[in-house]
Amino acid sequence: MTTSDRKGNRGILLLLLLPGLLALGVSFVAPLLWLLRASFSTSALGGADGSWTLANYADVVLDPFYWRVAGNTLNYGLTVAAFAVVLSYPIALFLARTTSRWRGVLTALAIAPLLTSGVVRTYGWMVILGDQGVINGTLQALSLIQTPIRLSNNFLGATIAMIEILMPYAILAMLSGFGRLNTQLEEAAAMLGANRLKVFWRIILPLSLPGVITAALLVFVLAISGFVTPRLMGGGRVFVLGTEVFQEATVTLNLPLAAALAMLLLVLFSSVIVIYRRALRALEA
Amino acid sequence: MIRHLTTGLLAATAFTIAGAAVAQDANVTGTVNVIGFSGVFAENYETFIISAFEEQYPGIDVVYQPSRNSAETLALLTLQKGDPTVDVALIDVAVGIRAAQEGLTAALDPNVVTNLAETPDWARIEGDRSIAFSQDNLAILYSTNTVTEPPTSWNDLKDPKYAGRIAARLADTRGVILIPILNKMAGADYKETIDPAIAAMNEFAPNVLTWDPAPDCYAVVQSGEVDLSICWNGRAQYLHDTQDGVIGIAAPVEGSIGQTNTINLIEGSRNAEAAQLFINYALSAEAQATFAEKSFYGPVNSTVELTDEVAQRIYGSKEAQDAQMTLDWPFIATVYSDWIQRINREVIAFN
Repeated sequence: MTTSDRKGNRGILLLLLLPGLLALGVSFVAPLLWLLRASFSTSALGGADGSWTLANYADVVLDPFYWRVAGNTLNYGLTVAAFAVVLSYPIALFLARTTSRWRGVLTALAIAPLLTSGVVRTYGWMVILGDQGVINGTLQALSLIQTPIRLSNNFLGATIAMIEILMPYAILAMLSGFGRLNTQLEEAAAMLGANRLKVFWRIILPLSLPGVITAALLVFVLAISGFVTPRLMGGGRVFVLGTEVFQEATVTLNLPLAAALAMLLLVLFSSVIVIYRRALRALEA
Repeated sequence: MIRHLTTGLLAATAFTIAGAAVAQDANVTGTVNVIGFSGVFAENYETFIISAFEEQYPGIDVVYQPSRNSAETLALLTLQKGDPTVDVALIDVAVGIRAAQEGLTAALDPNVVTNLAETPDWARIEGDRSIAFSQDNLAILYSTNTVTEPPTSWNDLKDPKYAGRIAARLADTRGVILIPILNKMAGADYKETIDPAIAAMNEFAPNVLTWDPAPDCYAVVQSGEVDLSICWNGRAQYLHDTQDGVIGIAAPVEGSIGQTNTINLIEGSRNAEAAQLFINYALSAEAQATFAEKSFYGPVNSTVELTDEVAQRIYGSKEAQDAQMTLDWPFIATVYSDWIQRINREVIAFN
């Protein structure tokens, strides 16, 4: 291949990339830049006509309430990610290892909840966990409790619903990350005298770890940016960055502050992704 | 005799001029693009206000575009600043004040919008850049299935029998309106302190099941999820009539305050003349009386006379009607987000 050929190829490659880059630029980069500008704006409506200021960030950083909200958000993301990964791991492992001819059907079933929107599934959880919901109704009918247990309209309800809603993502991410699992290695270990538990600890778990970490990252990121589920299931008591951005943008109409909070969320995201890449590299090494 | 003649002449002249003015107005043509609240409000507004206006002014077309909420309308107006496609916006008063201060709305001409003369001072905001035209009272909704003795006072919210049975979205205008009410009950002035109101909220807070009822503050009563809900009167009255009366509405005797809706001429409107004629009609006693009767929104025009039945459904008992309050909205606008912040941090976050 000559140099000019290679140059031509690169030109074609760029040309092919252009529509995607344009779409990303218009729908993602430009709004993000606008948001960045708004977060430094003095204009109450966040327009570009205001002059530059750091006041919005000062409002966020100097206010202990927002630190608490950021803490809540981290806590929410970590709790949801931990439970979603632990609950999804056996399912994903089974789906990855099974040789059943139903494998395709079972995999489709595991991720079928994605066919329904998160909003609809959140409403489903409201029906199940509500004061007069399925669980409280059954317990009361069995005379096991007198007054309903508060399972929704709080952090617990928002967490339970979010875990289930994000589990299909965790399963998908693990399935794609389990590529290095190999039954021959397990057989070899067994032949060398390892029992099943040891095989799991020494072979399966380390080999599946990249999938687990990817799943945890995905679920964490989706959970901390979540707005609908904390809002609907939280009964107004769950203060996370997503709900605060919404409150500032639509109720108190402080768009610059909302933009600054959104940027804070972005910083949280980025730091987690950096940690993820470090962790993955450490694993590979 | 001569005096009579003069009066007669003057009257005739005035009549002719007025006649000419109406005739001239009737010749105005154009399209007025109105953006406003959605749902039942939109339906009623189109049926009872816009249609009646178009009959009087056959040359003017009014196009109504519903918006999900005032914040979204404000965002649209901000985007279109300088070259608006919207001529008239119906928005919450807090947003109306913001829009006026940002230069998004224009001052009305009292010679065209003659009904401004019948609009009380408190409703003519920011130098006639935003005019209050209706008020939707804050009320306590109750489930007629589970509540045998309807609440009569805001204090009933504290009754332990409602433990875990109240929906109270207070981190928005509902809370901002409840503060002056609770404050007045404690004998305090909201311009000086709101501590008594915050304390009162904390007294009923343990009864609250949800601070953010989903999907809204009406549905949770209809479904039986709660017994009481702090919510708006107009839509509740409509749901009472259309959904088998499950939702009952209690207007507390201590009185209430209305969520105030404003009508705004957009700065740079290309149809300003026709738009102002429409605004004038919307502020008329006729339009406001009709809307009060059909939607149970309190009128602002001071000459509107309501029948006892309609007044009862908007404001409650005679006692409640006498205790009805209005607010200094420009003042409220300056404290709006601080008050919501205090409700969030000093009431909701701990309950």
